[in-house]
Amino acid sequence: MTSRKSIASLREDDLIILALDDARGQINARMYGYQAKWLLSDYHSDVWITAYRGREKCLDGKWSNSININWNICLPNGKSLADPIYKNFLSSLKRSAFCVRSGLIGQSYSAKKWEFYVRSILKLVEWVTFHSNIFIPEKYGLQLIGQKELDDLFSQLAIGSWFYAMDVPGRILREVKKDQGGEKLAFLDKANLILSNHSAQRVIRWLEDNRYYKVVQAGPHRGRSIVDKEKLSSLLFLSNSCQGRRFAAFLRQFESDFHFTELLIPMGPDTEYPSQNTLTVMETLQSRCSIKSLEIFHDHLNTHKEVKRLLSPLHARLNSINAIPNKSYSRSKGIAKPTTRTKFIPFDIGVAYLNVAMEWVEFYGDGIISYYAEWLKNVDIIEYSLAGGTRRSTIVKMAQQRIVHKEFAFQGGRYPNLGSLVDMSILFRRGTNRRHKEIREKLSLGDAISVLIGACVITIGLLKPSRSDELTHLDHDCLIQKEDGFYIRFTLGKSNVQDAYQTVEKPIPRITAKSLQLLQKLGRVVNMNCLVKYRQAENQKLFILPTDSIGRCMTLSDGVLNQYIDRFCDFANFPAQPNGSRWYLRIHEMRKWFLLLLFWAGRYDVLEAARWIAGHTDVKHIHTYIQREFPGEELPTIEAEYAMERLIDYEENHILGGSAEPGIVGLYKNVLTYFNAAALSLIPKVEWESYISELRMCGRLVLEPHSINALKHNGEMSGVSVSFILRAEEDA
Amino acid sequence: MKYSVANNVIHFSLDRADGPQNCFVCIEGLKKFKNLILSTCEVVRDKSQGRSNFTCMANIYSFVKVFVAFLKYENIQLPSTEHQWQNFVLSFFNYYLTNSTFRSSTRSRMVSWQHPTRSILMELQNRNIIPIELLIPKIRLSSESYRAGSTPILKTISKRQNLNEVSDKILVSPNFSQRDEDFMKTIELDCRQKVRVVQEVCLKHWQALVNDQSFSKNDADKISNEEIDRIFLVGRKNKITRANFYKLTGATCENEHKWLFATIKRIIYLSDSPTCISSLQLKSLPYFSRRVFQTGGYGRILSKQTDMEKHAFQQLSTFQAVYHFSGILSPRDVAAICALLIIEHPKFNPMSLKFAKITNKSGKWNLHVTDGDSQQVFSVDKPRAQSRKAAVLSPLACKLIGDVITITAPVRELLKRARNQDADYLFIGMSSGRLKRITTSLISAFTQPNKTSLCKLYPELTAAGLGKNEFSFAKLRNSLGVVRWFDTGSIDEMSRCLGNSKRTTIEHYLPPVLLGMWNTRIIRRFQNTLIVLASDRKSSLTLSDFQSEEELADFVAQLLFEYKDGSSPIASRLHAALSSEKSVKTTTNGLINLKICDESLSYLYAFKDYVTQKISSESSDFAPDDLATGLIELGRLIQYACENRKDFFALSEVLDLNSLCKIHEKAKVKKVHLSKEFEKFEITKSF
Repeated sequence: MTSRKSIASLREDDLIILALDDARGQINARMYGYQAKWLLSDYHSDVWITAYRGREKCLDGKWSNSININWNICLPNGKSLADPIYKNFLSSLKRSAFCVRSGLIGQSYSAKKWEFYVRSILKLVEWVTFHSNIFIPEKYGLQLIGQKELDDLFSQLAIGSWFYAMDVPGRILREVKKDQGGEKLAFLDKANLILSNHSAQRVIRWLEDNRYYKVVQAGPHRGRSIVDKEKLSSLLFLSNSCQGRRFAAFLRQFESDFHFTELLIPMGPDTEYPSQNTLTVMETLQSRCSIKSLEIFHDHLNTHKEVKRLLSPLHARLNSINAIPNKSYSRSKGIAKPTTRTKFIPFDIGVAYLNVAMEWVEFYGDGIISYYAEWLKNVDIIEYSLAGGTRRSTIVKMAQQRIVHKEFAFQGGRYPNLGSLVDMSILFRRGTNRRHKEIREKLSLGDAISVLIGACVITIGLLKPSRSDELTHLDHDCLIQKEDGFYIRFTLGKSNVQDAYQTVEKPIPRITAKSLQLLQKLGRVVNMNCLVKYRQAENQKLFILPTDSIGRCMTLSDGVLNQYIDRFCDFANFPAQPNGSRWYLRIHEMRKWFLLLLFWAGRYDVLEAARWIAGHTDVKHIHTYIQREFPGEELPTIEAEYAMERLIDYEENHILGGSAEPGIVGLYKNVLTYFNAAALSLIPKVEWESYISELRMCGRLVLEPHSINALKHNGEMSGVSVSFILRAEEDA
Repeated sequence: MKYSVANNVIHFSLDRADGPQNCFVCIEGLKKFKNLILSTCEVVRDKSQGRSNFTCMANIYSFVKVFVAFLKYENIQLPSTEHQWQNFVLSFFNYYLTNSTFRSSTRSRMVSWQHPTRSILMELQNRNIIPIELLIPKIRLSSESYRAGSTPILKTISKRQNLNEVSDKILVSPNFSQRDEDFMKTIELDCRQKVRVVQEVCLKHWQALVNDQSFSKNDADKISNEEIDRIFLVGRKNKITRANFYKLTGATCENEHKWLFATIKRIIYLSDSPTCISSLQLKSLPYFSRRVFQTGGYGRILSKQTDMEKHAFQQLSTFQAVYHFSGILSPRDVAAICALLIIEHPKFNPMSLKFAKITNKSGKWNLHVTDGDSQQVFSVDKPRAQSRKAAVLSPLACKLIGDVITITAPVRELLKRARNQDADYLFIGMSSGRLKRITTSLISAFTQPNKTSLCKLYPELTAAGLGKNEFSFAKLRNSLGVVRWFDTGSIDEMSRCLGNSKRTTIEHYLPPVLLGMWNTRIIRRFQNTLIVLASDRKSSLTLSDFQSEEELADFVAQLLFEYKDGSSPIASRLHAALSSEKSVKTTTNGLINLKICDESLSYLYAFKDYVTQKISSESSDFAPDDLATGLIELGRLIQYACENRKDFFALSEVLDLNSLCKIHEKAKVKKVHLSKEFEKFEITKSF
């Protein structure tokens, strides 16, 4: 009890500190020049290191977990933004960024949102310098961007994002022509950026001559040659935003080693198969930019226009965009594609993964971690850290022999003994060339721990909808036990005030509690056997994970969490899908899976519970989410069914007085008028039901849930109500 | 609202139906800020124009008082430049959120900074009293739309186990596996039962106090004031010894308590010192031997007279017993009354009750309930609420408060004479050796096991799960809200509103506590649905939250009932799992495998004959249930099969008729004997 209280009050202190800091920040900018608590580095330095929700840490003078902005970006004309000719421009950009982060424009920006804003503006700056002959940025900044130019930018972005807007393919081809001379290289298919065979051969030759190929060193595609993207980008002064998947897809036509598959196989993750989200090369090249990202970009431009009123006249002039982003946005919206949604995990796949994950957690988790703890206990960390490679493996081997072989077997003869599943004599398997099949057949203890962590994350994610940020940054003591079961305490990923987030508790089943407990135990073991230098603060984070080297540990970032899930999914080894991909679960997919299935099964009765577990503030949000994300065509049917049930209920219970939602009364009357009847019971059921279905299908009947927060009598009442909105025929 | 300044005091006065309400703010030593303060008062007055008294008071308390306190704090200078002004505002903001002078939570401070404080400051800017260029910091708060977690109710808490042993099968009472109606009923019954126990015990305690007090008053009245004064006079002149005292009074051991009560009563009447009847003082009085105040003593004598339960009374110390009889309230008594008052009027919070003031005007009892709750900053008299609350006091509450006022009247007079402000408070009694308002914790007076708390006196409280860490006044209030909700909305209505079974409407208006429990239940059920679906049959019990096969089976049965086949992937999957069971059964052509011996078969036959006979003889009243009918049918089938083997030729192999017939023959013999035994049975309807 006491610890709970102290934490609650600690959050309150946080809140005060944040409020005070924020107020000081608002005022300081005006009074004392550009200093703020969030700005950890010097204002004038080229790289801004900024705070991120108190997670930033300074180790040996280096900041980690902070949000960094590099102002010294490389521009397409080969210069850099920190060059003296851009001095004024850069300082105006810095000021506007500062004002936005300090909340001076009235809107409050969270650290992450601010980062996206600055990155958008920097991309715009790149674009302006790319066309420096038109915009002359060193003199005019963003001032010369007119409505037409902005419209153009938006429509190019809509077609192919920054890769297209910065004309990357054209620039590559121009480079080739410059070196080789000869006729102009032509696209066979302009829209898909596919070169004619002849031209492609010329490009390949050029790439070979200039040694732009490199050989893949690790992973399943070891030995194949690919274009060295970094080298190529540095030639063309490409920024990161132009080097996305489109860049990779465009270059794939010059990488003959990968022509065996249509999928745009990523080189990064070390998975056995490409993931379910892997697109084909053609899909990638054809894919348009999503409406959502255009919307965000135009939002950022609006912010940037707004911020100029806070700047001195010179800076305001350099930052003023003489165009209306809203217009460009609405003109380009038609070209862009609707925002892609997180995929819905097929029910059977989700359930199958859950089963394996639960078994690992329940039957193997304790054994693996206690064996690991026992092993590490016998290793002298300091001796290990001073030793060289061979000596190290001897130390580890010796330690293993000293383990007192206690009972590390498991309950139930049904499950294979841990010893037959895991090779208990190998802590970490060395070598990069690891085939997944071999790993699966005999896991090393390190592999087993990775699989276990993946299993834990899956049991948490599938049984309690979470955002990836919420999971990554769980506290060590996030597991709470109350009289009616276990709860998980976490910081809500949304509904924040700048960087003050809420802490909430939500119910979890026992198996999830067990996963959390295993992770706690693992964290303690790892932390205890860490060199003091790397040791994490006691009881701070849930995820303190082992690395390949004993005596060190790491905390999580989003990407790392996914790697563990990937390891687990590869271990579970469910057959690959027909297109040669495998479903690797993602946190957000699991969230969606839970929420949609919950609604699907429980319908409108669980809407309020779904809102609550999802951490939304209004039931409307969850309903919109469900309408948008619902897989298949069943949703209108479900809604129509619900309307029918409500109508019957209304006729039976409310028609003689009693309050009813006005929408249902309207719907009731509408049905009666349509059939010219006095009561619903007089109309054949099939007929009126099909009428309702029809109304819903053609969109004339809309369901809209509301949250009710009313103060009635002497207590707060809360609940959900669903309105039925009937649209007039001409509207539909 | 009016205000005037005189002698360094700002006097705000609000007009109210029953006379002006006053509020004083001292501004001594703030000469340099005089203009600022005066214009602030002006703004506050203008802002309060046409507002309710409550708002006016809020303006004064959450702005003027804090502002003046801030000005007094650490030599603040009157700012002159814009820069200084900005710092001034910032440090005010800082002070506002962090000062320890005013008790209130950060959240409420933040809320009251936004309004009214910030708006008053902005008005000051508009009037050019502080520079218009200043930035006045802003706070925004957003939160999840309800916090059911923070409103606990009295419910049965299952014993907790150490968290480190999650792996052991569980601690959790998965009451989410109950059906909807049962779930709600459990909550309701639990709440009602606990509230009832609290009410009964407190009422019992209070009634005993009232009775004992009137008993002691009667006793004391038997001795006239003159008599006592005479003794006092004698005592003052020359030292009296115990023997002398007895001579003077004629007191014996049996009637000495009369003298004790009379003396205490007289002392309270005459004295003006709040410590006049402290245990030390009483001990030092010459009229009673010290021995009687030690263990036993009066306690033993008084225990014959008390209305309290003997075992409870015996736990009181002698002094506590004496005070109990003399009508001097203890924190324990106050806790009991507060619990009763809260049960009558859940809107009263315990803090406001504890510090409730009485003003006795024109024969009316006025109850000033203050928000002394530690959650809020100021203690404000709620002038509007006060009249309403007085109007709606239930008869019991009226009587209780009346009793309290009568009982505490002598002490109140004493405090008034002593010019002690505590005289205005409703609850005054003996607390840490002084007569004063009760300030000690009521909750510990209720639950603390090592004091003479209510829980210790009345073990039934602890037995009912209302002991330490289980009972709190906040929980009591929340539970009452829930009970009231159950009273007004019918359970049928509610289960219809909430029930998954009927799937009609989700227009539920629930107290947040219940909604929170309901949501938790839905989520827990769904989580376990997923677990059950994911795991195979053998491990599902281990992996899920359930403790026994029965619970799990019951849960699965509920799920099958709730989810129509084909309505969702989950429903289809569930039904698929069940129909696979069906298909296992149908492969055996719907026949049951019965292990039959002659013994069992003979019982079956005897039962069949007995029941069929009963039905025919007492036809109208007796109807066998499904199980009985099934057994009878089974008996008939076997008998028919054995006696008409030809008809059953096709089934002879399945039924293994040869061996069945042998058993049948044996059973028939045994049945004759059994039937005679069965005849002795009687069916009584009273069952």
